[in-house]
Amino acid sequence: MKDSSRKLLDKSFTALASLTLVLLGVCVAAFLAPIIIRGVGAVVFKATVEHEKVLCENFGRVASASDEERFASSNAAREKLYSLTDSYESDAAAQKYISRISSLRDKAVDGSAKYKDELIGALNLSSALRASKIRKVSEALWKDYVVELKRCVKESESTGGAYALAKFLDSEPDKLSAAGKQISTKLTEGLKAGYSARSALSRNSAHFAASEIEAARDELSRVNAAYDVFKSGIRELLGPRDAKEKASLNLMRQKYGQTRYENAKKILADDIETLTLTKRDSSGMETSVRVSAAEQFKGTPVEKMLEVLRNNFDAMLAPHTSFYWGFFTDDPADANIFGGIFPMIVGTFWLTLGAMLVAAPLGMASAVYFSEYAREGTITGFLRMCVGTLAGVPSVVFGLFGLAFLINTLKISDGKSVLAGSLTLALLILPTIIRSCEEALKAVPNSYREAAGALGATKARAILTVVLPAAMPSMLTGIIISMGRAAGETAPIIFTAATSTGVALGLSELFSQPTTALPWNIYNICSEHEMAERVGHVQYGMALTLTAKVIKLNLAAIILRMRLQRKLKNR
Amino acid sequence: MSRKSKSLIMGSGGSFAQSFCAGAGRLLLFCITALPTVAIVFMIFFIAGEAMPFFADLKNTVEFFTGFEWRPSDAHSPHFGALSIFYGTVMVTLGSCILAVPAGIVAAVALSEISSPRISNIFKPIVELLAAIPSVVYGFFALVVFAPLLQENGGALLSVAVVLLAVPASVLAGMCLGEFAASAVYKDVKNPPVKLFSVPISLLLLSIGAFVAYKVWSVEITSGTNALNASVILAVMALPTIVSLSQDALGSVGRDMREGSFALGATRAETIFKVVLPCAKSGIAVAVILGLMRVVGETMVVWMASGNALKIPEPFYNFLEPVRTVTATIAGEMGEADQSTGSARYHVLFALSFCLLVASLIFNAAGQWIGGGFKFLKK
Repeated sequence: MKDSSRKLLDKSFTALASLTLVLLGVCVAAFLAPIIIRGVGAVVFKATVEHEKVLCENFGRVASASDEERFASSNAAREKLYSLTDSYESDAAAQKYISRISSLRDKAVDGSAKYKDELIGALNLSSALRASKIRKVSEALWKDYVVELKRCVKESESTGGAYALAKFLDSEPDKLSAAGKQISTKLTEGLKAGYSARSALSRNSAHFAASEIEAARDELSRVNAAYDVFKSGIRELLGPRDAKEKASLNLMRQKYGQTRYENAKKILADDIETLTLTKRDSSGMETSVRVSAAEQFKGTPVEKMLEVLRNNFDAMLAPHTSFYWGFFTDDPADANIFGGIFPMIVGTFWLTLGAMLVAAPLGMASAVYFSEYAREGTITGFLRMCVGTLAGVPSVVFGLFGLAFLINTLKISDGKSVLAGSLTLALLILPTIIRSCEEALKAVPNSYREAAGALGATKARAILTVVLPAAMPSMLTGIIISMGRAAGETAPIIFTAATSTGVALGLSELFSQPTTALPWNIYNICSEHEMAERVGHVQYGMALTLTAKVIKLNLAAIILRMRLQRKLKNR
Repeated sequence: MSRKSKSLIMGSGGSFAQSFCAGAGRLLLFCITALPTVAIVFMIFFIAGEAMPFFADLKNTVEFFTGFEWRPSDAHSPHFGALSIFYGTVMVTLGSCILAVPAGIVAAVALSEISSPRISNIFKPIVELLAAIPSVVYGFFALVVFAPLLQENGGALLSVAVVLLAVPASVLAGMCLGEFAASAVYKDVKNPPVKLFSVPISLLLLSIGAFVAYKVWSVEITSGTNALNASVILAVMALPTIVSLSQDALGSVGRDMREGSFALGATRAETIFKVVLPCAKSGIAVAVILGLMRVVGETMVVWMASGNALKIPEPFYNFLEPVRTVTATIAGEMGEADQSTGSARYHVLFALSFCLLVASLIFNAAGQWIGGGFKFLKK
């Protein structure tokens, strides 16, 4: 090979290797950046006025003067919208249609005199023919009414009032049957008609109009479905309108509007400005379609509501940047949609503490044996190999072992408990602790031991008073790092300790109760939550809390190690 | 005074009480030290014990290792074919190996041989950080961040990856191949025109890379949780193990080896490839095996990121389809099975974990054998 190309190859290999390092750095950054940025959003975020309402009513926060002010101002802004919806839904909106339809109904009843001969004649026919004949006549009798009804429905669709008209039409069939009765009594007045003739007349004379009413109501309910979707979007955004409505709702997520401004904006865009409607196509299949609200409600009063909503969006929700430290100290409410992650933090703390209390002394003792007492030989080699093997066992197998041995065989608790989880975790981190402690002990210079021995100390005394203190800082480093591992492990606690919901446990419950824990709940809230889009901030918040906890521990270990190195260097 | 001076003489001991205490303490320490051994034995015993009822039925056992149909809780005709589950584990493991092993070894070489100590000191905590991040957070990232990204911009992401891989690879390969070609064609010329060969070869390879990237751009990924997602995240998880252990192995290669190589006129790359890496190969092999074990035994990431579909992808090397692994099956189904301990499903899950345990023991034994952990047997 030519020298120049050898050099070039050398250089390009250097470049490739450096590139890999850069890639590694980028990898870490790309991994941590979203978790940190969005995780911080669980605590620091733009909160709407609903957030304060939730805190005041459920988490014992006392509303400050500024809170009250915001409640009042947002309620005032909402009133504008609610007055629009009220007037849209009130009878007044459809008053002109109602009066037109009512007057034509009366007119038809009055006009029935014109068809008296035909109708009375029909009564003489056989009962089968009678009904069809009367219906035929009623078609002519109710013609104006039906034409007007259709026109009103069509008009109300575009100019508003459809909602009120639909409400009015709900009672129209009753009114029509009353009208039929009226016609029947009017025409048979003075006649010697039997009961069956009268009832045939009253039943059938308004039949045509009644069937048209059904069609009109269908038509209107299709139109109003869009409005209902729109309104439920508003309820999702702002919460129930008053205390009475709130009391009638069960789930907390229904009792309050959006607590986070970014979610509120998403609701505005996804559920209010675009509506999801079910449309029936020609073959009768129902499909859901997304339509723009602006187009759907073009020219109707709802368009005005939309405009008011858009213009007063901020006033209604009163967003402001808020620090929700309660995220770490509040219990979760309604499947984590509200509140914090306190029980999970406490659960993780107990599990980690329990594992450390068991594993740290045992691990240190084993390390002392390995480094101070054991003579290298077959038995020691075998023991050492078993430590390595235990370190390599998959964590999920530890979980199954905990289930099969600790819970099903030893029965240390009925079912899952913090105790079982801690013991399983302790076993999991034991090899790591043994190894790091042994390294630490081996780093203690032999002169220390010899000096202690020269001063007359027994071996045990030398270890306790000289070797262990000297090795302690770097032993702690290893122990702290394995503590981070215990805090973050999930698979071992799935079958031994973790539960999805629950409150923070006290000391006495640790031996019998399962607990919530950050790692398990991160899985749970990501994979099995039915409203994943509403708990995005909690997902990231939990992930960041756990990561920060582990990183904090590692950082402490790294700093400890650095100090130690400096101390050793200075010596 | 005389007693204290007596204890100066090592081994002769003090009073009886003293030596008894020392002996008892030693015994206690030995017992504690034997704990991992006892734990391993118990673990094998209990896992095998719970798996035994399943393996006792030969028909089930045969189906377990040969069948594809997995319906363990079916009341009428349960099926225990776990092949597709095993395949999922193998696939995800291989995928992450392909990504993590070269990257990890190159990064270790870069850290211990090429970069300045200052940069190495910066990267050491970074690698430790990667190792410390809990697996569930990796799973969270895979499911919440990476999966939607993959689903929406999968083609673009893949083609960027192809370009990132193709550019250095084709340049390096072009240079090497060009050298060979030039020396083959101009056998007797002292300074053959290498550029005449290496530039076209590089360009050819680059254009192939570009073509692949272009083709990949239009790939649509139907589900963001798939074998690729799991493999990538697992590779990142295995990276710290591979990097730090390989670094240790490289660091233990003596300085004299390197200096000798340099003295013979080798470049740094040649020294690394021909001297340092061969010397450190057993240590690196151990690093790779331990990294692999972490991948095989990892639960949360594969459970969250692999899609958990009970089938072999179509075609079998398609990494863009969801798969299901052994660990994910255990974690996912045991929650429903453990209420009814003694059910067929409970035992078959223990059978799966027994296989997992055996695999990890074999891997571990291989690692220890390569790393010299079995030396005690030869004595």
